[in-house]
Amino acid sequence: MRFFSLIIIGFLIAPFFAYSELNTYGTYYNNLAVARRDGQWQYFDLNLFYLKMRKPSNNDFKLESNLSFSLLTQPGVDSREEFDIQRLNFETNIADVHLTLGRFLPQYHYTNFFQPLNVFLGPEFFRGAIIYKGIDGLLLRKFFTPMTSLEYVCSPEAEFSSSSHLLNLTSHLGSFDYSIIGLYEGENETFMPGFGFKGDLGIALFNETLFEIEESDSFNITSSTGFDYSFSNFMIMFEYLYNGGERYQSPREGLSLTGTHYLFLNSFHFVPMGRTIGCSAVINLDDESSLLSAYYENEVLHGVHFLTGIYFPVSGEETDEFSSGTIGSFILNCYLKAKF
Amino acid sequence: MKKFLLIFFFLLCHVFARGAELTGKQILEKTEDNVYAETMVYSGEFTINKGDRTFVKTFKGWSVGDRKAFVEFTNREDIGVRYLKIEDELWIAEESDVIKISGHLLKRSIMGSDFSFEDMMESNKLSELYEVNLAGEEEIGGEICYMLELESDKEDAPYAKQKIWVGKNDFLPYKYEYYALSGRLMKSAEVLEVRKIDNKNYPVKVKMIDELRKGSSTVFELKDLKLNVKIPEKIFSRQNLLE
Repeated sequence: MRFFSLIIIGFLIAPFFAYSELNTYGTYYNNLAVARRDGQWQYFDLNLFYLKMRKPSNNDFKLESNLSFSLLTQPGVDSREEFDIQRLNFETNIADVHLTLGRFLPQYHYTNFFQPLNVFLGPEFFRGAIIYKGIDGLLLRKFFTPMTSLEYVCSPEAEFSSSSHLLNLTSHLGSFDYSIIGLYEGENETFMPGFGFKGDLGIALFNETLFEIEESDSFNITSSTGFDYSFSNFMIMFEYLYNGGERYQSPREGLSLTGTHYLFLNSFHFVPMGRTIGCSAVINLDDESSLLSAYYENEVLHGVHFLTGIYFPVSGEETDEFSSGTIGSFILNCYLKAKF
Repeated sequence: MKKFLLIFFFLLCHVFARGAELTGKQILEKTEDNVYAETMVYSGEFTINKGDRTFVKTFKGWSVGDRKAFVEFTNREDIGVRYLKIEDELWIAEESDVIKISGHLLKRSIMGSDFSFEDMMESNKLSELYEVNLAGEEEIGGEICYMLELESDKEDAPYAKQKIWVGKNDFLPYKYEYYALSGRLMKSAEVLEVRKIDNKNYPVKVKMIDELRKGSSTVFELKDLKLNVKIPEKIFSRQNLLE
């Protein structure tokens, strides 16, 4: 609690250290989803607010504060109202080493849909929307060459032996970006080495793989791999997830990833005026349930993006992951993102 | 003897004059050399016209030849959006997340403009990618221009066919047309302003029109341009993307 209070104070006073010019800007997201389930209408409304205060950086000094929080409202039978703080941190440079302190979201992003490294973040799925709750701790990053960095992330616990630690070496070779990571979760005494890459060989190839090695010598692999390819104004993407570990399971309904083998297919078409029309499918290969979606995205105003999509199950028994019994007969999802 | 010398001089001039007739490839090479700068530091803006809507996006940029570039957007809605190009690879940073742009993403437009990543990414010289043919001469905006037709079947050529109009006097490009393999005109670009910088004429304002989208055009303008200045190597790094 004391640690958290310090972070809040740090966030609030950080701008005062940036005596001169200070930029404040942010993003507001609203995600409204309506589902038809068991003959009843259900909806939830997710609001995300992200605020960044930044002293314009120069080569020697940088100072930023970040705050983002979410408010989820779901009325009805399963009503809930949840408030979460995703980010509350400040970032600076000390002797060419980047430091982030507070609650933050480590960014790892090679695969498009399934991201095994999110085990560290614990994403929460809410019917078509994903909330990432940040971790409390510190991040140190040092660059050794223009494209090679070593990152250390620590999420401390009251008892230090229960803390989590992450080392991430990121570099570039040929046309490939790659990372080699080592995550240690003190609480479960689990070591998770892994790697990820993304490169271009005419088609874009990407992979993320995470191994779980526990004290009891149990050994699991979670790996997501795929490619994307474009022609004219069309793009197709294919991604396969082998979900060997049990950690990458969300407690929420829809995309709970209870299976072992998944396929994700996506295709979209860039239409005039920067708009995108697409359709995608997620298939749980174990229970053979699947979810189809069609979506449309447009920048409706300067800095304001609107996305709407419809999701509906096309196969699966009542209790399967993507069946109508689990997620409803359809979900209509509207998403608005406004920068200010 | 005097008469002989005159005839000899006339013949010599004629031979040199014929030798001075440039091929399409030579004209293109001369144009590329003409607009090439060892380094550039600039600020500018994209004015994006989408039907009756207009968006303005401002940016700062640094580049080394056509090999390295770093661009940071400075308008309020896009603060924190940065692009890094090294040779033929491209990364984008947004909200502390770095994504390598490859495959399908290269086809997408930059910040909703009529320029695609591929348009801006071109590292190889056109004269190395395309077969060049001098198709004639035309007047563009009062300037007598060579009209060059470029064709390529190479995969890394962003368009199957291009036409470029190059000023006969200054070897600057004044107009471009970009065609698909089918021969369909996809985009066209026109140089709107040429400015003298360090005793060198440089195109600083270009209008790109997407011919497949009615009412869609983007004016790319360099407001402040410095040529051949020293740029720290750190600018072209993943570190700078994350800063």
